[in-house]
Amino acid sequence: MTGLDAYRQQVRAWLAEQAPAEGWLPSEPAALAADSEDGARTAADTLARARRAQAALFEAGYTGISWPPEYGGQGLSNREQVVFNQESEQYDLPVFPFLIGLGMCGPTVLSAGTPEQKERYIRPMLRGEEIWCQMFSEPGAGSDVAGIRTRAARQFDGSWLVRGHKIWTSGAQYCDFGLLLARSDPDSTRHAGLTMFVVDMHSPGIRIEPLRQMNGGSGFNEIFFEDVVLPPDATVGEVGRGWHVAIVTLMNERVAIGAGRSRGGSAMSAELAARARAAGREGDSYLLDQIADVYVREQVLKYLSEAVNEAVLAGRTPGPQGSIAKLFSTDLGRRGNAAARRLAGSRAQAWEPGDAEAARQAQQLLSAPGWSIAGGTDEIMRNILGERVLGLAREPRPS
Amino acid sequence: MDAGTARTDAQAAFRQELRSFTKAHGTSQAVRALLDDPAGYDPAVWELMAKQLGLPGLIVGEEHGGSGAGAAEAVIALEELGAVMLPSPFLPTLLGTVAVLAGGRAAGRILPAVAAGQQRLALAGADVASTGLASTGLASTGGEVSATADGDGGWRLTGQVPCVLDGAGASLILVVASTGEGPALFAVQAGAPGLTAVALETLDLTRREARLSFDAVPAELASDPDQAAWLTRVRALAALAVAAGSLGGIRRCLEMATGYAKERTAFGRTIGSFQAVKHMCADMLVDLECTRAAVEHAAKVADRADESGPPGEAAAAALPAACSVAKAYASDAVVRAATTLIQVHGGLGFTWEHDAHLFYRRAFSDEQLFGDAAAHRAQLAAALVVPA
Repeated sequence: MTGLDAYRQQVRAWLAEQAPAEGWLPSEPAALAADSEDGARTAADTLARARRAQAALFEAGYTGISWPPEYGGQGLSNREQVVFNQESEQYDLPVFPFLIGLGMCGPTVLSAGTPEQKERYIRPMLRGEEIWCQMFSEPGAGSDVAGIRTRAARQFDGSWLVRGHKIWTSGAQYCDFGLLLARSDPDSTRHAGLTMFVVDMHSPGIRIEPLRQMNGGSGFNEIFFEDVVLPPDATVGEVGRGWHVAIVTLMNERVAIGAGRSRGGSAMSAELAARARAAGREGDSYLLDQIADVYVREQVLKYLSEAVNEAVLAGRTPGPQGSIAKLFSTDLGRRGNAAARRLAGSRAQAWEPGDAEAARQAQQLLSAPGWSIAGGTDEIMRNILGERVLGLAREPRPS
Repeated sequence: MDAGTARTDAQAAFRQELRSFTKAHGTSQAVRALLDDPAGYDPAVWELMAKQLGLPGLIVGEEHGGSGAGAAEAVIALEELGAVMLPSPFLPTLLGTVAVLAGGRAAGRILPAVAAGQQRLALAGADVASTGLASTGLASTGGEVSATADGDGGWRLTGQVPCVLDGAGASLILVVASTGEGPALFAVQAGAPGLTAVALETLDLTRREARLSFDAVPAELASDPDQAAWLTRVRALAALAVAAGSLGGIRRCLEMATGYAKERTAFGRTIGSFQAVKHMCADMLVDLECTRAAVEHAAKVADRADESGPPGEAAAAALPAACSVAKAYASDAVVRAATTLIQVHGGLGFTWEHDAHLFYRRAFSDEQLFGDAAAHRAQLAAALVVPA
């Protein structure tokens, strides 16, 4: 048995023992499950349950698997991380609030932060004691992050005074820390003159206001910085190099979102098929075609992520499958919604009070536009594939 | 160029050999020189494919003089040949070999000559209708051939099969025909009495197809009655083989489209800098990677299905669905890719001189052979929705 096989056995045994005891088993069909950004998920008990789960993962050594041991990681390779991802896929680990920290902020601090910052922030992040968010987008800077206007002005004592307005921050109302991208050089334009900061979200002058989404949820927030003072050591990476630091964060986000949605295997088509059978719709060939199409694409998405895993496990550099997965999965979600609508018919637009299935389906329909926007719009993803993978020329920029 | 996947060093080397070969012999000029050729391929090149690459006997076992390779290697060969559309008897011979191996009974008699490059095969009657009803599974367009025992241990075939790849050129034809005890596989010699092959007009100018008519044609039984699942396996692998060729086609379409988008200028910029064009190319890339993932997964399942024991049995059970996923995705994707290829090239892509139409023709041929996307989705839906 290789070391990796032994590791897999160890992970499998631990999960098999912990998951039923901790209630980490999928409680309902994962397909068409509530949108992960649903505000209801962030209720206090959900948060407490998430913290317990994250702490248990830390104690067992299954978080920060490839991160350096001196900061609380396990010091293993991406291969062990892949093994853990594969083995935990079938369970419903309730660690949603930590995904932005572990998926984006942690890697950013580890790649650009000072030893002191790593010492201070990484371990509590891994233990689930401190939750992180990221604050890049602004009302005037969405897909084009370089349009950032939030101002960070250096004071005489080396501290920073921040004034501005951020938007689309997931989980800001319960976060302890966040990564902030702000303009440190007032005379700069575009990508130059930006700096990355760590922000204590409990600092005076920070005002958080939830946004109400079109699906009724409030997972996103607006954040107003009204003369917030950040200490001199709040900068992550060099002053003025914030854009380069941010790229690390964004690349991690896109992989995390694409991979996140690929979970669930063929659950959506299986649920649709069961409902079609229950409704006696075996003769509806159009519906059957839609369900089979969802199945085909679920399988393809699974194979894409398996191909990435296999490449990592074999020590090869993965192809562009990870970037493709995000684009592909938003399309798959829309196709799943279309099949569900055909199945429901008029019940898709008006349903009996208390019909949870119909309500959940409507929630999916109203969440779908967000999938194609959050973490890089479909159009930005296509630009990335066209420019970075295929090497096509960029759009000319105004000089 | 896309490096392609190779799980082992031997597979990487095999792919590299194929690329060197197609670079030398699969040029646009060479392909075009054969468009009006009645045989549709260059026998000298086929001989080289046998000598240098061992393609005729690629999946024939070593005991019969073949290379003993699996589905993974076959998929690599099909992808690389599909990328240049080099005309050859490889695909029909491979399909015939798949049928002979699945049938079991005649492998020792037929395959040594195939591996030696002396026998070109064709497979007739294993095709599936493009409109299979989910409740009835895939209907066969080849069900019109029936076999009757002639009393001397031989069989006679009567009926017709509409579209047989290399049906007029093959030296030995494997025919799926119905018997009193269900479908069976038969081997028919080219030129056998009562056999008529009518060459068809083909959309894909690099492929030769024929309508075969059987009038009490003497035939040899090539399947064992206890090989119950053989036809399912043949259909699945035939669909996978076509999908693997489509994978190569999609790859080449993407290479050609991006190559052109980088050099052609309009309105003072390369056209690839326009998002409208860039996004078309990005969507082709998504289709390429998704097709690759589906085809290579199905090949992995096929190779695992050859192993003995419970894992092999589980893989054999999963094989039809895995191949249907690959064919359903590839059929749609190759059509999108070839259509986009022409659109990116504009008027140039609509000319006879440009190769785009050759890929377009191939794409729509691939789409229909061994079941279109809707037929395979119907098959999958039957398994998903209809209770067993």
